[in-house]
Amino acid sequence: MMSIGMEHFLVLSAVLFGIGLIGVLVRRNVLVILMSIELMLNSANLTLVSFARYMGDLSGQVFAFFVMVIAACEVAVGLAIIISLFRNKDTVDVDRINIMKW
Amino acid sequence: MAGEAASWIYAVSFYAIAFFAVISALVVISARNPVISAVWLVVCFISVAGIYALLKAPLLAMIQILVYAGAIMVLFVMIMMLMDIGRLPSGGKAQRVLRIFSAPIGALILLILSVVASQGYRLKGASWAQAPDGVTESIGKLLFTKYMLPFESLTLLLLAAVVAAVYLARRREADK
Repeated sequence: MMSIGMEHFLVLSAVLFGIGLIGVLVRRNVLVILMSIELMLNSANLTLVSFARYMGDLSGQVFAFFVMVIAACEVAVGLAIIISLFRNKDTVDVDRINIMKW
Repeated sequence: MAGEAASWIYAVSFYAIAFFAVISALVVISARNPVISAVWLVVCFISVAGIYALLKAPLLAMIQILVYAGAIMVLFVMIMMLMDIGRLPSGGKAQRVLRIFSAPIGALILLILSVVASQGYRLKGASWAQAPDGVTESIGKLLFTKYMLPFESLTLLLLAAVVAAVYLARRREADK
């Protein structure tokens, strides 16, 4: 009756991705935007792992592992950019970071 | 019946963990203070690790907790400690019109994704029953045989990211 299938995991992953997307679109704080991007990467990982489970193939898990490494790199570089930004512009608000806008 | 009881426990734990994941993700994007967001992001990451455990991927669950809830969140909190967030001025109203539309558009995309995902997948030659053995040994074998090249490229990428982070975050002489 209450059997959990592939769809449940995919829907959870889609909901987490959507929440992350809304965070990126709505928030103005660069730190929160970076966290929302992490949420989206996490949900993509969740999809990879659930397909790995469904297909009986470990490749999905290996790629989820790779995505985690990429996410760690992205956070390190992103936070370094935010630090540099904070030193130069004294803000973490994306609306105030418009120096490259025409 | 033992199998039925097991599937019932499985379903209940899935719904409980999924509930925690979604609620904490909502708090992350709605909290006013970024430190609160960071703390709830840890809750979300640990919930996702629980989902990995339900998907028979214990190694990934452990890595998720170590890398995300451990390393990445410490990085976030350290950076927030370095920046004095409380005294920051609030932003202008330059993009306000765009932001009114962004929330409904994001909600619409969320809805579409969920509907598509809920349709179910019937992949040829695959079934829910055949689980991969998510043990460390088989993943390690894959990493060092089939996925050797991506694995080694990732080490280069990590090196590049470390160098870039140190370069970007260093204090320039002119700033003093």
